[in-house]
Amino acid sequence: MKMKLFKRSVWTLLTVFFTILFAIIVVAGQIAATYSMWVDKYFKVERYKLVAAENGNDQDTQYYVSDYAIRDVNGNLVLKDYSGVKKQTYDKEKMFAHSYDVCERVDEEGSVLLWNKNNALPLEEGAKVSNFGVGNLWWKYHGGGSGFVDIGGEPTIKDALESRGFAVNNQMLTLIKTLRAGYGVNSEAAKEIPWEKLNSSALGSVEKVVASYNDAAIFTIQRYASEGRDMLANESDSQDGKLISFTKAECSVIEGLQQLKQSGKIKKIVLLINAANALSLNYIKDYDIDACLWVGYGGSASLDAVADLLAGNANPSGHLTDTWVYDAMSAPANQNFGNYTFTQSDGVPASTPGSGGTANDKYVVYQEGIYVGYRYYETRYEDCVIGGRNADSAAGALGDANGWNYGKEVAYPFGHGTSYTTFEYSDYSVKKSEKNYEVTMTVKNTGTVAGKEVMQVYLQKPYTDYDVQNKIEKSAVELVGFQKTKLLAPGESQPLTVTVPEYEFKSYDANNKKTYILESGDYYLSAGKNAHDALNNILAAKGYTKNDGMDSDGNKDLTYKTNYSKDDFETYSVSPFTGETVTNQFEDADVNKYEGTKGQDITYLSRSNWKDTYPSTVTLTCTSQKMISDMQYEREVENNPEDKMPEYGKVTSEYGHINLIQLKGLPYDSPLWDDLLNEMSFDEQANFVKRTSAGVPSIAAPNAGATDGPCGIKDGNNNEHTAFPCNPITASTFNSELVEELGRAFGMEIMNLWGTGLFGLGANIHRSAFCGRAWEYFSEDSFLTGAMDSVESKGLRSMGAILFTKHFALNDQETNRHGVTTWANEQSIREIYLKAFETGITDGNNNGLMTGFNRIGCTWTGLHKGLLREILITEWGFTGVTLTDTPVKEYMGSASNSVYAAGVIAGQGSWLGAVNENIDEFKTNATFCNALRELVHRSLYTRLYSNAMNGISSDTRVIYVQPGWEKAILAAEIISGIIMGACVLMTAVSWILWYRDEREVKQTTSN
Amino acid sequence: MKKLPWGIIAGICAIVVFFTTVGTVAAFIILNAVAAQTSETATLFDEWWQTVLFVFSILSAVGFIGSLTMCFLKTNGKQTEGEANENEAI
Repeated sequence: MKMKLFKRSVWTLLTVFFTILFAIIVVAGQIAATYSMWVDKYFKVERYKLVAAENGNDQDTQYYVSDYAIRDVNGNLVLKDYSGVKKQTYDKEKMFAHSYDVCERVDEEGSVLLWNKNNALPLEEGAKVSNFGVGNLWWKYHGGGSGFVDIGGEPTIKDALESRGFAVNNQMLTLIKTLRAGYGVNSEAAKEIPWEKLNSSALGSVEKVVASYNDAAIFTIQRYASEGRDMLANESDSQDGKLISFTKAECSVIEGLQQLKQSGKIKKIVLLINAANALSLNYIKDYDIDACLWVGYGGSASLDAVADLLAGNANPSGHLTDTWVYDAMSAPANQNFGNYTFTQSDGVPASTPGSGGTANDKYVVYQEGIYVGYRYYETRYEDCVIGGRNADSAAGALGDANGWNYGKEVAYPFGHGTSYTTFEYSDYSVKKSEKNYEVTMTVKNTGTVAGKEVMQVYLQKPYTDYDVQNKIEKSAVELVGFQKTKLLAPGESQPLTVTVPEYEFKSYDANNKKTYILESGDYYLSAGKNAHDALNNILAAKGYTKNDGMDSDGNKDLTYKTNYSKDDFETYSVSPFTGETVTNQFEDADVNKYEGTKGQDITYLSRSNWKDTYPSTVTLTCTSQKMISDMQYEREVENNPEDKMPEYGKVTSEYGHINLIQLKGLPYDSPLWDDLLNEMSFDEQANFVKRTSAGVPSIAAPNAGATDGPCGIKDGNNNEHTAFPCNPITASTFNSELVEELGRAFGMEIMNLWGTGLFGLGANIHRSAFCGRAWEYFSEDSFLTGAMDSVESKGLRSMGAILFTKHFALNDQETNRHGVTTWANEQSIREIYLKAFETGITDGNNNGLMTGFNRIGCTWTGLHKGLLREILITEWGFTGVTLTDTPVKEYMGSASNSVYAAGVIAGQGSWLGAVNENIDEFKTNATFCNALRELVHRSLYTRLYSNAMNGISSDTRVIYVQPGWEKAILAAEIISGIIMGACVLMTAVSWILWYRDEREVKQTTSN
Repeated sequence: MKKLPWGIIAGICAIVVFFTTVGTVAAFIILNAVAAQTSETATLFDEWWQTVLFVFSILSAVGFIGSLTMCFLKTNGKQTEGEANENEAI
């Protein structure tokens, strides 16, 4: 018995086992503590529990009430305990039905009918159709990445079409299923089943398969855009190495269908484009395709909407939010989009490989300036018509080797979209009030079915000698307003009014006045069916005709001209939001102005000379001392000796101790905020750097959890959500009221999951058609992006959401996004890339921003004082909170704590998923402490006006609760440690006993 | 061969099996959770070290079974030998 109990080998092995186990648990505990935010999220843990006051009136503390909150017979809200306080309960069935209905309307109104020859669409009632395209098996309702929302099931186009009375060729779909191995669409490739394979299957020829279902061939063309990867992949089946061009296999199917149509075997060919990005149409322009409907990524209701549109139950009224061209490479931005490496970068921190690596040796130059999307094509077109400026030179011409020709480059202009009906515009007039222009027009439905039309208003500013001298660029047209009609019955008319603020007339002069200016000259306001149509109307007003090279005669009656006789360099040099002076903030991002890139000057695209300024790939080095210094991870942290340390942990209010909720109704600058912040400890404030959502027990501030967006809630396994339509199709509705309704529906779903924050919306610009996250951003146009961001934000904010609109700023490509240095001039940064964020904040009351992974110049966005403090806070009056993207890379703080301190001082709020931060070393730095205090002030102010406060009264307390998983790890450490200790002891005893026995045996033997 | 400590080898193999299996499963769960953030899924063999862990797990499991068998046979053999000796003594 003794021998068995003290068997050495057993105890030694057990000691080894438990020692390893103990070590693993300790290390795992450390790692889990480092990544505690994510572990909390995984286990759905709330660290801050609320304790409600007894006998409190819970009805009065529901500050944001869902339209689907359940009420009793007396009209009182039916409340439920959640984390210690009472919150609303919801009629989920009705809420989700409402969300679905909104989604379907957005999809229907947002889908763009690119062309519709001979009224090919809608299809006849009960039409017998055959579906083509491997995409029919995997419909793309969302793009990929953090914003992807699972709709929990695989809807089929067959079900959707059959439910609308169509007869669907099941044999054709079965054939696609049979042949699908090796084919499909992902973010790297679009592999369609080629015609020869379809045509030589065991079922016989396609002609035979479709014989009984030949009213229409519906061919789904798909592309899958995803985070972390631009659509630049060199797809093997591509005809030009570009993923957004039609592939050989796709063209083979179209050609095969065309032959069947010509031989009368099928009646019509319809393309459905299930993609977020604008596709290049050069390879299909000569085919006889009857109709083409762009349906984007429509979310949960996508297929129902598509079926209704094909059946004519709904009439498409979407308009393009991007210019569709024959070859995307004709856009000047694409000369510098993607992967560019400094030819020399010695002394710069080493990059790390892989798509998730840090790209310290990469850059991207926005050499095209303001000429993004239609601003380029339309401006060059005008200059071709007017003549001069080398507009018709071959520079940038891909459609015609002899010279640039609008019609050879642009397939469908920005704002284009047809309908099953027709519309007529009349009674165009413009009335000027003090600071606004009221543009009115009557729209009449002149067709035979009901439909909606969009009134699009474009502005042309004068391009003057002053502009040429000071390198200010002016687009020939800019969208400055829009309004959508109600559903107009045939013959019905509706007068519409669009208000255009004079604020839109200003331009940014980065070189002379270094502020916004309003120049003298002629300004034109024109309505058009699209950007090109509006420009033609302006040209008509200027007296140009087709004889001058216009592709159609414009309508001068739809144009208004006003003249400013004097330059105004004062009015807009001051922010209308804060009264602060507006001046240059991005000289460090302009290759021609930044000290570190001296001697590497570039030429920005200018309409003064298209030929000599047309962009080519920019080559840069990173060798100057200034540049190398600015690229380092370590940052200098300001410590102004004049700054005084703030108070911590003191009650200073005349009302005694106050809680956050007691400040409700008070403005951001109320002195009581100081009293509230004085009550907090340094540690409580420092916690905000790591957790923007952190609760604060000392002032009873609840936590405010956030989730991924921007087109639906990513709620893990809960599956209680709607996949809302993606941003391009949302924007293409041009329907502000509908998009606000969508935002409100979205907000109610966030409340349903007792959430508050959303990592969205997306307000970056479709600088290039290749952008991998185009599905999360609205448009190539800054005005439309801002307008849509603003109205959707209003809807979401009406339900108390905190929106971290992303990615602030100039994060317009995925390639090398972790740290890429981004170079652009101040005019383009302000007028193109910041404008949408500005509108979202100043008009949409947007209360949060997510800073980008990229650098602006050599400075990471989260450290860029000009961006975060001077523009965001000082010019725009932002009182919300900023948050970084995740993961936190070396230049964002993971390699040096100084980045956190410098970032907070620069105006950065919190670091999403920060893991290594330790800011205690800056505890005595008054400049940092005051900046930290301001960050906390913003976070709390934002939270105070959010649904996180629902259920909270002045008597509610917040207590910190250690999460169960932390307790479990601690318990495991203790238990495994005790067992390990016991094993060590037993091992020692067994060896001692063995040694003693051995000695006894030896002694016995020797005796 | 007869003198190898099969019990100890079995014990060592059991320890390796335990930790490599836990490592394999934990790696899969964590990588899958990370991949889910970008709507992707992970597999047991995404990374080379996952494959190494898995192979070690299998090899040590085989080693464990083999050494346990040998240990059992050895113990059984000793017992049989003992019984035979006892019989001889009778």
